[in-house]
Formats: sequence, C-alpha cells, structure tokens
Amino acid sequence: MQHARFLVPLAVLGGAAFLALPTRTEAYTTIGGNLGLAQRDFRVFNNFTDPTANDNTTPDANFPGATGVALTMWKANLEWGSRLHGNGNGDPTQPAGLGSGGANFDPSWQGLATGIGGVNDNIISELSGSSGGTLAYCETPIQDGWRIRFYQDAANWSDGPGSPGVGQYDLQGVGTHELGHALGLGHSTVAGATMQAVATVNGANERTISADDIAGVQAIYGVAAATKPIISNVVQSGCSLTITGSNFAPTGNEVWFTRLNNASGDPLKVTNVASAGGTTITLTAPTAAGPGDLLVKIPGSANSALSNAWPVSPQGGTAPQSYCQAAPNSYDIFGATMAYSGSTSIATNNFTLVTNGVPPNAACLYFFGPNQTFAPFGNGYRCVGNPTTRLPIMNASPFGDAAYTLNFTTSPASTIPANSPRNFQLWYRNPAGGGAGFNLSDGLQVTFCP
Amino acid sequence: MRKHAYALAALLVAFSAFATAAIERLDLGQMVQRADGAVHGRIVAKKVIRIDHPKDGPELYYTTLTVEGVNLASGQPQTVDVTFPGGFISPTEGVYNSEAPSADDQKIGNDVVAFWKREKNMGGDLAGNALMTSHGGLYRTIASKKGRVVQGRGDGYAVPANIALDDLRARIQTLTEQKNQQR
Repeated sequence: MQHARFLVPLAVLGGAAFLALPTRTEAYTTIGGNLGLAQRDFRVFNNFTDPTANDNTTPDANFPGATGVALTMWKANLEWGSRLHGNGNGDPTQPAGLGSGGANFDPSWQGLATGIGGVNDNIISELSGSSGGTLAYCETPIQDGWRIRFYQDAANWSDGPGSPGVGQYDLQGVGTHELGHALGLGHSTVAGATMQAVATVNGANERTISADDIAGVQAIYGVAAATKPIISNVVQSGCSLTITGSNFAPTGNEVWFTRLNNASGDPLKVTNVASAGGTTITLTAPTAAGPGDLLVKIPGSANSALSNAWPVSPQGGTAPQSYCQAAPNSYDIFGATMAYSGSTSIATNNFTLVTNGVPPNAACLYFFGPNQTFAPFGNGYRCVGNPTTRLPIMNASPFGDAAYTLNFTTSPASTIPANSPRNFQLWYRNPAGGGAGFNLSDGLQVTFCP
Repeated sequence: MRKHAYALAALLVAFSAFATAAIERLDLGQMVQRADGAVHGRIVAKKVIRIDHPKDGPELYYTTLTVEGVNLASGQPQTVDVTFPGGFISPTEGVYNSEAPSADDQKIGNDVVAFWKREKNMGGDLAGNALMTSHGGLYRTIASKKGRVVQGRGDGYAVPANIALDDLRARIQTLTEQKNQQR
C-alpha cells in the first residue's frame, strides 16, 4: 500500500521525463521559393559522353520523340508530377507508374536544347571533369529558373530503362534527386528518400519518390487542389486533338504544347480555348507543336491552375519533312532547299512554301503531287512523281528566296485533301548554271489538317 | 545452394557501395582512400570565382575556402585551399549549389575538418583541390570540456556521428598508414 503512494508521482515524473526527451526529427527540407507557372519548362542538352548514357534507342509511346538521356530526364521530372503521366507506364522499375507527387506541380517537357544555357534556363547537361565524389548538382535560386549538371568523369552514366549495371550510376535516379532541388527541396535525412544526399542503395530506387519526398513537394506547392484541371485522355484524329478531363474553364483556357526546335524553352501556348462542359476541349494542333506533352491551364496564376501532363504526338509525330536532294546551282553550292511557315491547318489557310538558295530573281514555280520519286532532271533531281499539279509561275526575290502561300479556297490548292501527304518541290530557271539551264530544289512532304 | 546465397549476398553488399543520389556514399575508410588529404583548422579566407567556358558553358561559379591548420594524417602544419561548385561573387551574382556546404558551414573563422582531393578539372578546366563530396567533405568542430568534437552529418557520410577530434585523428592516421602500405 505504501508503494502505491509513490506510483502516481512516479508515473507523472516519468511522463514529464518522456516529454522532455529531445525528439529526433527526420524529414524533407526546403531551400526556399518555388517554380511559378512561367518556370515549368525543362530541356536537355545532350552532351553526355558515356555510350551507356544514350544507348536506350527504343522509342516509348508514352514519351514521343525522346530516347537516351532525354527520355531519362523526362521520366525523372514526371515522377514529381501531380498524377500519372498518361497511363503511367514507361519505367520498368516502377510498377506504381510515373507521376507520384500529388501536388500542384506538373512539368512541361520542352525537348532538346542546343546549348548548356545559363543558370536559370532550366536545362540539364553534362559538365566535364569531376569533383571528388560529387556526381551532379542543381544550381538555383529557383525563382527565375535552375540548371542541372552531371559530372562527366564522376560515373559511368546509364540511361536505363532497366536498373543500371554494376559500376554504373543511374541517370534517372540522380536526375530525380536533382530535379527535386529544382522544385525547391533540400536534402532529406530520411533513409531511402530520393532527396537523401547520400543513398543507401544503387540508383534505380531513387527514381521513385518516397512518402517524405511527396510530403516535401506538397508542402511547397500544396496538395493537388480539387479545382486543379485534370487531363484524363487525349484522342488525336489527324491534326485535331480532343482533350477530355475535368475542371477546364468554360472559356479562356490555354493549351500548352512541346514546341518543335525550342530555342527559348517556353511552351507553345494556344490561348483563349473554350471547353464543352468543363470536360472536353477540341482544337487543332499548331504546326510548331512537336512530340511531347500537352497541359491545360485555366485562367489564373496559382500553381493549381495547370493540369497534369499528357503525352501527345501532334501530326502523328511528324512536322513537314524535307526529303530527296537539292543540287548545286550558280548561286548556292548547296542548292535550293525548301522550308515552310504558317499552319498545316487548311482552315487556318496560311501555309507558305519557302525556298532558300534560289538564283536571285529567277523564274520559278512550285509543283506538287501525292507521290515521291528520285530521278535526275535538268541540273538536279525530280522528287515529286506523277501525277503533278503546277502552282503559278513567279520570280525569286533579289536575295534568292522564293515563297508562295497556298490558298485552300481556290484551285489548285483547294484540291489538296486533309490527312493525305502531299509532296512539294520548286522548279527554277538557272541559265548561269549551264547544262540544262534549269534546276530543282529538294522536296518537302506535308500532311495537312482539316 | 548456400554458396549461391552467400555469393548473392556478397554481390548485394558490393552493389550497395555504388550508392547514388547527388554525392557518393563514402565511409571514413573510403574517404581516406579516395582523398589526398584531411586537414583540421580554421577557415581563414573565402573566394568565389566565375568561369565562362566555351565547352562547359557560362556562369560556372566556384568557392574556394582556405583552411589553415594541421594535416590530420601527418600532424604537420598545413594551409590548404579547398574548392567546390557554387557561390556568390556579390549578393546578386552567383548561384546556390545543391550539394555545397551550407552558408553557415562556410563562414570565415569556423573551425573545421576538410577532406580534399586534387582534381585536374572540376569543370571549366579549373584545377585545384576539390572538397570531397562537396558538403560531405566539410565538418565543423566545437569545443567541449573533454576536448574538440567533430560534428557528424548522419548516415552515409564519412563522419556520421559526433566524434572527438583526437579519436578522428587517430582513425585517419591508422587508415592512412594502411593506405600507404597498400601502395
């Protein structure tokens, strides 16, 4: 009974002692700031030198147009996305699928860069040399962007898609870690977290962000809002895209595309797009849209205004394609080469054939047809097979350019059908070139949309 | 069958040494093996440079700390410059580097232990003594009644937990002797 007198005070003292014990905290850290909607783009400058960094040449429908390092880094960033990317497939080491962040954050893949870029250009690249066991790093502050570098000599880099071999380092795992810094996360003390500075297992495990990493990205960007637009499917029919999902605005939506040959990094944006019932958006893909991701932004500047990313390959993954061969002429040793401007949409009606390297002021004309050929003709090669249709004769500019805008409302351009390839070529006079006195450009194949 | 299991276990252990993340996972033995030296002393100077390189790109910033003290392996006085990527030339020009030591760890006057390795090119053709594994190669020390203590950084680092400087020195000297005997 006497012992009982001491039990309560002992219990109180024990409880107080327990509460006074220092708690061991293990969690994510943040570096301050976050990537605003103007900084969701990212690109890869593929200067990676290890053969194993670019030996995955198998295309993946979930990542159209990308292989090697580009494919790897695209996957690495998507893992931080709010929800599954497309059907979530693409990483054989991650059965749960890519897109685990659950936050108001989604990245916009913008393809390959042509240079390393500055410290705020959001470009991933390799850096020569090594620095005593440092594998890679991310440069911030993030308010205006970031840059990620992988040390060339620090490791034998592997682009997967499976786990790296013995002695190799996993680009995707390290990339996921560095992109976590780009989002605003510091190092975590939680064992097994992607953001742990030093990991306990080899590479591929870091591809999958942990509960601690998810808590970190959600702390910075907020848990994915109930009002955040969601893309649940995209159906392509020719150049027409039908986006289905939820939370789209009735009007004023923006649809973001991966821009072809993106020099700036900025997404290609189609603005003022209406939805049907907030669940369906139908639009024509712009000509400058390349294979990559599509996102929908509703009006507003909050992080929750941007949807998840969905893989698309506008125009079947092929923009107008040059083919065949130009022959030298008296003005340009590379001959006359074709290009284009404007939209491949017939409804837009501004597609312009452009040819450079034509002898100044030369008489010329474009012709087109459904078939391709390759046969010597004049001083050059004929690239369009029979039957062909001629466009009006004209003259090149004094600077050696020839341009012609198709008018789809009148013949002969009005005879061009949608979704059926047509091949174009320029014929031009060139007496100074000798021989037959005329020559031809290379060819350009174009598939027009309705 | 058992042999296969042992072999698999050995492979897994070996495999785990190739740890990824942003910096390599090096215990103290591996750190001494890889490093060219370890110094204990005071940070007496700090300098940040910018390199614009035709191949490696523009705006490469590097911080160099001058540590004046004693070589932990030899016990000889030593002043050594250690360099890592990142840093600010001015409040508005420079970059934070995700793997660099924290600003607090880089302060002039700090008493530190630093592991370094001579590198021919740390990027941008910059040669010098790289701070091993960036922040993972720099440890602050604090004075205590029982002598100076090196502050550990946690699992995966060369100094994972707090350790008396004298003890760390003794371990580094032993590991250095073993390293030299292997050569």
